[in-house]
Parts: sequence; structure tokens; C-alpha cells
Amino acid sequence: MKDFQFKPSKFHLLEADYRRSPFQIPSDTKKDIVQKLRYLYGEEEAERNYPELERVIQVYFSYKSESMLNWEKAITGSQYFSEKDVILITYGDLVRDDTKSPLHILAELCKKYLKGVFNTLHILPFFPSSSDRGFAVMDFTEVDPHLGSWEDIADLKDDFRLMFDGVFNHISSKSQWFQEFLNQNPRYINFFTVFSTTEKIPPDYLKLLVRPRTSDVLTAFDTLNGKKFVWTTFSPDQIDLNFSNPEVLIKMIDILLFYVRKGADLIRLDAVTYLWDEIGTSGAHLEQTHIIIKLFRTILDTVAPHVALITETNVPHEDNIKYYGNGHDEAQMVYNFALPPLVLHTFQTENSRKLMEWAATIPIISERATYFNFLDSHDGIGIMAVKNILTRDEIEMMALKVIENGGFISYKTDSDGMVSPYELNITWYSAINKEDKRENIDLQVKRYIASRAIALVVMGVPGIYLHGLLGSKNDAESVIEEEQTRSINRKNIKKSELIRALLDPDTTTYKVSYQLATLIVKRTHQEAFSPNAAQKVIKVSEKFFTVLRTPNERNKSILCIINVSPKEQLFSLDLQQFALPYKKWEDIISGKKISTVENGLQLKVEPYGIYWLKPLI
Amino acid sequence: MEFHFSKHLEDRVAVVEIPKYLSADVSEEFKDFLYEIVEKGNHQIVINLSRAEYVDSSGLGAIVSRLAYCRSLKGDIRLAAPSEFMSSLLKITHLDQVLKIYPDTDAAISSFTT
Repeated sequence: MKDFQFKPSKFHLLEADYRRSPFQIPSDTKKDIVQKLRYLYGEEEAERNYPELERVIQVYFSYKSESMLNWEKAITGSQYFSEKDVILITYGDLVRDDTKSPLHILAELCKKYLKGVFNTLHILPFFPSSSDRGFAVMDFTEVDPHLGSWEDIADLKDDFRLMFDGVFNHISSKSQWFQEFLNQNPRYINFFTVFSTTEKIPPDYLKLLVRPRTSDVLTAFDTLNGKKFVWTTFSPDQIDLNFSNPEVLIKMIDILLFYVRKGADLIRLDAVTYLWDEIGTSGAHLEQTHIIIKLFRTILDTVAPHVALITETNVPHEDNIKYYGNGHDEAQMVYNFALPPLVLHTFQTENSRKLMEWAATIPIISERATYFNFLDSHDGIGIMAVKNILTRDEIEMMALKVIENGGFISYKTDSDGMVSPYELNITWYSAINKEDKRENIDLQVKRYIASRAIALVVMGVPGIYLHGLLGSKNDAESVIEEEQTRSINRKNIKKSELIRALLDPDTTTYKVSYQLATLIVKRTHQEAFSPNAAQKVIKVSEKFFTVLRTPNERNKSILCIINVSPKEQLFSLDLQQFALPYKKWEDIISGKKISTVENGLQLKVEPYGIYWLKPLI
Repeated sequence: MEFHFSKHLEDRVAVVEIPKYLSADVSEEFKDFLYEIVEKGNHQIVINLSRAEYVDSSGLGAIVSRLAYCRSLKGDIRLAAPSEFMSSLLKITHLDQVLKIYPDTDAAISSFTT
């Protein structure tokens, strides 16, 4: 994204300016929106609901300042992401002390240590929530007072771009909306997908559902009018919203635009795969869901073109990339779910073949859309994306090695009623390194940084979870205490302990965070790492991951070489073959100069060594 | 601490007893013990949990620390006689879906014959 030219926290007015004429939706856009509404709800409902949607859009527009409107003109149509974009993923309260609000502490730490390293912060759901660490939202428009306030969010806005979660698939059972449903308030009766009995639903229909959990999809609740069975994809506390009701859709668009007003530059559509609930279907990535995301995109492109959508869909890779639409009309970023398990497989087996084969198939999406390259997040390492890339045995062995390294596995129910692994729960450091007192810590850190380097060089925007930046190890004790396998990678850290670790060169935290931050900073200065720079995977040996990234100016190319094995390896490449006639190269990581020998590059690469080679002109 | 193990089915199956308490202070030692057994060529292992009164996360980690290795050699680590506490721990961590669990040691040993 282009740099902001003025204080982004002042982007939006505190009160709507109704002295200006209301925003007129361009006729083509109106046509497009109505067409989408027709697809979802039919002609009559589309006509009936459009005026309310238009009102919501106009209200949002009235909050935009004049200076923001001027700034927007410069960004429209330009490349959306660049090499400067690196996203830190964190909970609002991962770091705590007793004196200040967690969001205030986060702002302090990020401003002091992470400016120039990350330019975007993904603060995981910071709304009042009743379970699932923020993902059972009780009120979409409030900041959880235990975390801080909207002022704390605004305070971060001048230094970082912000990514918010749109947890739109479901709402907490403790939310006012659902409580009103239990009260049978007519306004909320159709906000949820409800059955008065389960008898009318053929068991075969329920089996068709693709779900990331093993719990029952229908949860019984007692209401004013008796027992009702409610659609709950994730848990009995997370009630699916009924998007087949246009009022729900418009309400969520209102919330989407509210987040933009509050400073969101990216909106992560959580669990969006399951948005549209329909009995007799798989319930996953249905066409209606894609249309809704496209509708969000149309609206944002019209009134908030600086805001990007990112979809989180832990599904097979070929389904995952469908969320780009045609590259211009749906998500601007898609979580690259295949990357983490393939990198893990590479380091477990010390063999990059599967990763390289897959990476060679990854195309540029469009000027304004790219991959979100993450290895770890608050959730586990999803394995659905590699279902058709790794063999069943390879996936099973990967999971068993995760268990050996102190991790766990989460399961889901398949359409045949069988239970199968869904994600691996482990910190990235523990996934990559076995707790083995016989192994030198520096070798473990090198292995870790090498794995991270892959996610920094492949096409896309990198995202790093705070525990990944710190090289945190498993917190298995919390798994048992909280009875939740995902707790293994969600440990809260005391600010004083974190600072101590960051100042002690002997700690893993110090070694990992400084080395990783150094790599990131170097990356942000290279056009070759722009998401739109071409990517060519070069198969030299299965002991290396080798990729050539080439921006518009060829002499700014970077040849990335990563040794994925614990042994020194000889790297040899005929550069002529790749139209790289340069005789001298510089490793931008170490500053080392390298000369070619008869147009060939020959290097002895130390265990888990990394080279980012740039032509010296 | 001393750990006990015995051989069964013509020495093809090793049965390892876990102590009453398997927590951070002894789990490293137990892990080393298990490594040693596996390194000696025992890849079909039954872990007898009948004495276990308390196992923490590090103890649990030690029990499964050679699981992938044994399975990669067509062996396995199987559990026998879990207490209610152990069963609940295995359920919480979803290890009950990964490991084969038997009501007693004899059943676990003979499972290797099929």
C-alpha cells in the first residue's frame, strides 16, 4: 500500500457531515449491487432492500473528511501491496502488565521496537466476547474494556496500518441479538438459521456438511416459544448468522463500514467459507458466499478503496484461491494455507521437492491481489490445503512428528461421518525444532530462521504471529488447563519478562527476534520482494529452496537460496540458463560479494544457510 | 529415578511402566529412558498407565516422544490401563484419536499380534 501523507487517525470525522450532499452511488455500481442482491434474494427482495443498503453506504460516506477524499484519488487504480507490507498478527492482550491496558502496552511496544519492521498490525478480535478467545463476539461495535478502548486503536493508527477481524459468520450466544431471538423478538427471529425440530432434516443432509468441528451442527435452545434448534458451525456459543435474511447482510455491511471508520485498512473475513448456511449442501464455499464477498468488495471499492479484504479459508488450495474471484472482484488477499504445512514438511524431511513443485505453480493473481504468506497464527497449522498436494502418509507422518514435538491435532467430521485431522496445534518454533537438549540452540535458531526465510521470499505479503517473532515454545500446560488444543500457541506474556528476554543475547527470544527482524527490514528495501515481482522456482537440489524474484528492472532481481538441511551443501547453478549475465553478486544479508566462475555460481552453503543474492552492477 | 520395563511375545513387545507421578521433574529422564529402549531396537511398545496418578504436559510429551519414529518403522506406541484422570487428559489433548488405548496390558500386548 502507498504511504499515507497525513495523520490516518484523522481519516474519518467524529460525526457525519450532512451539510454535504449525500453520496450518489454511480449507476454502474448500483446495477452491480442490485444484481448481486437479486442473485441472493430474488428480484422483489432486492428492490425492497436496496434503498436501505444505499442509506448505509451514504451514512458511511458522510464520515469521510475532505482530506481523505483527496488522498483517495491518488490510490485508486494503483498497485495495492508492495514489499513494504509485512503484517504482525497478535491478540490485543498477548503482552500484559498490571499498570496499563493491554492495547496501550501493545502500542508502546510496537512503536518502540517494531516500527520499520512491520507496517501493519493485525489485532485479533478485540471486541467483547464470550469464548474462543475473541471469536464469539457479543458486540461488534465495542472494544472489550479489558483490552482498552477505541482511543487505543486510534493511537496505533498513525504508525501502523490496521487489520481488523470481521467475524461475520457467527455471533455469541450471549449477544443481545441472540438473547432477543430467545425472547422471540420479531426483529431477530430471522437473524439465525433455526429449525423447530430435527426430525425434518434427513440425516444424509447433515452428513453432507463440511465442518471444521466434530460437535453437532444444530444446538438446542429454549426460547419463549419452546425449544428451537439453531445452526452452530463452530460451537454452541457461536451462533451462525442467517445471511439468507437480507437484513442480516445489510447489518453486517454497516458493521464492515463502521470498522473502516474506526481505522481498518484490511478486514479479515473470519471463517468466511461457512457464511451461507443451506441444508442439503456442503455448507462450505457456496456460490452465495462468494457473491457476498464480491458485494463487500464492490462497496469498499466504491466508498473506501484503500481497504482490502482478506479471506481466511482453511480448505483445499484449489478452493482457497477461488476467493480471489477473477483477481479483481473478490478478496485482495487469501491466507496461503498450503504454505505452512509444505514448509514444515520440507524441514521435517530435509527435502524441498513438494514445496518447490507447488511454489512453481503459483501465479501472480493481479496488480491488486496477492497471497498472505503466513506460517503461524493464533490458530494451528491448517492441513486441509495440502490434502491434494501431500500424500495421506506424508500428512500422517507430519502430524505424528508434531505430536513427538509436543504438539496436538484438531479434528473435523467429514461428509462420510469419519473424523480426520484438520489442523496441527503447535508453535512454529516447536514444530520446526524438537525439544532436544543434545541439539545446539544456535542450530535450532538457524533452522527456524531458514524456515521463516521461505515465507519471506515467496510471492505475497508476509504475516508473522507475535509468538513466531519471539520464537515461543509450546505452552502445553495451558492446553490442559483451558481444555483447548489451540491454547498451545496463545500464551500471555508479562511485559517485564518479555523485555528481559529481548535484552538477553543468550535467550531464544533474543536470537530469533533480532535475526528475523533484520531479515524483514532487508526485505522491505527490495523491489524484488514486491508481490508483483515475477517468481521463478529453480530446482537445483532437494536440499535447497531456490527462487528467483524479478521486478520490472531485471538488475534488481534477487536469487534466494535456502539450505533446508542440517549439513553443508554445495550449490551450483548455470546463470546463463536463466538470462542472468551478471558476474558479480552481493548477498544482501551478509554483505558478502560473490563472483561467478564461467557464468556459474558455486557456493558452499552452511547448514540452514540463507543467501539473498543481488547483481552488483 | 528407576523405570521398569519388560519384554513379551518373544521379545517383540516392550512394556514400559510409567511412575505414579510423571511431571516436569522426571519427564526428561523418562524421555531418555524411552529413547534408550527405542534405540535398542524396540519399536512395538506398550505403556502401562495403571500406576499413573498424575501426569502433566511434559509427562504426556515424554510418552509420545518417539511415536512418529516407531510408526515410521512399522511399530507403535500403545497405551494400557488408563485411569479416569489419564483418559480425560488424553481426550482433552485429542491424543485418544491418535493412540490406540486398551483396558489392560495383556490386551495391548496381544494387539501387536493382529
